[in-house]
Amino acid sequence: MKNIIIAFFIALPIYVSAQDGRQFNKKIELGFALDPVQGGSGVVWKAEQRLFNSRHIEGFLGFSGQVHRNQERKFSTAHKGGTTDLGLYVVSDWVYYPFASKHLFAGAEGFAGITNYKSAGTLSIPEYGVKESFSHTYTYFNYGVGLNMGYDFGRITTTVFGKASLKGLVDKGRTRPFDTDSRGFVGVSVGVKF
Amino acid sequence: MKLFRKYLLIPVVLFGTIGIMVSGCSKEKQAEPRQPIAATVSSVYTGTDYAIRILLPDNFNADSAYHVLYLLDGNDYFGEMTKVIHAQYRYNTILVGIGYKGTNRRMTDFTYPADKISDKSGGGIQFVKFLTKELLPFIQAQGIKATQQTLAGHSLGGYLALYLTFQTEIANPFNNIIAISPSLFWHDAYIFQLEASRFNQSKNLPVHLYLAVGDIEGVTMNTHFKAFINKLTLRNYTGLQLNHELLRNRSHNNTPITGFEKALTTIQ
Repeated sequence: MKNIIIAFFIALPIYVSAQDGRQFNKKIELGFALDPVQGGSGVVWKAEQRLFNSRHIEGFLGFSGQVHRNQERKFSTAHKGGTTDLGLYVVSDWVYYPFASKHLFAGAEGFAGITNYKSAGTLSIPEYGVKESFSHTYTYFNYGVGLNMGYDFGRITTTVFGKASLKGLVDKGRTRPFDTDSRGFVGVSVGVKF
Repeated sequence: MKLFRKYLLIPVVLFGTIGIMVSGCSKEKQAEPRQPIAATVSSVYTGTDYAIRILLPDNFNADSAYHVLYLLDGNDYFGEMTKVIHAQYRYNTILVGIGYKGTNRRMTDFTYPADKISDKSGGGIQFVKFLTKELLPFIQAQGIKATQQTLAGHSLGGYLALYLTFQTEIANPFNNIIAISPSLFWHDAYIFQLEASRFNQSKNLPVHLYLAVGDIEGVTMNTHFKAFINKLTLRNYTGLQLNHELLRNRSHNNTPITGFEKALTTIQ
């Protein structure tokens, strides 16, 4: 069994690097993201179709989704609950491969879609006779940009990314980058091209 | 061809002139707010130099008295509030922005007691002394007379405004307190303990309180806010005028100016 596992890990990079990523027009990605300002973490996914392919640049269009949960433990422990963001977006990725081998890349993306923000929880401070609950849902149009870099191992693509909503910069409200309705994220993802 | 040019030139010049006149009329130049007076006030209580900006009314007369609005976090909000005051209250309100000459010390000045969140926290009582014993006398010394005095703060600034209201060491000189998105959770919700202590001393609280929070500020902010409003309502203080509001679709950094504007409509 041990030999099989070792053989698998030796063979995997050889297998994936032997394949030419250029022949695949679709990709799906699954990742993990953190909000370093507001707190919390979650998963992101992306499914895209390649629409443009040149020697150094590829363009993709597709959908992405995100589930983010923040337990709000930063300032108080007297409450239970937190906020959950669900997002569904149209996304366009543009990837630049600086070398002919098309492994290392850097890219930029734009996204636009719907975010559903749900906040719910309770507060209990018996010594002050406080017992309170709160629930609120807000669905809004969200849009933003992201930057990423990564490496393709054949059909396997790995990415480190950062992205931010621009809602807090260009809407009618105050300038508020990385606020609860204009979050920013950093994360990592792994994808497959096919 | 020369004739054509000559006759073409006349309507071009004519309509061009009319166009410039019409465009000049439609964009009637709006009066800009007065330039604020800038001053530095050094505090012996906090050991800090404060950058004070004072926006006087358009028709300021030293013999008249005005509503004086003291704004915490002046470095952040004075510019935006200048537009609000100029647009709606330019003849009857003096805006005093309280900011910092150097490093921003809001984590020290706006908090009491000290908390493990920051080792710089806990200087609130010293800041209250600065406000009441140094800044207000400084403003009066500038020849400014007040019909009423309001203290407005956001977030920790809102907490400080409420702390000033309920602490009993220093008499509260403000008629109105505006606390937008106040950090009521500070130090395990210490403000509830302070309020209970204040209530046990006296049921008389002669102040107008306006509190607001954004509905997308999360559970911590909203549950503490609801609990505090319910507590004040149950107390039934004599002399207290309480207004409160849930600001729709507003996140934490999107509440201050809207909140201040709404508060002023209940005060003026």
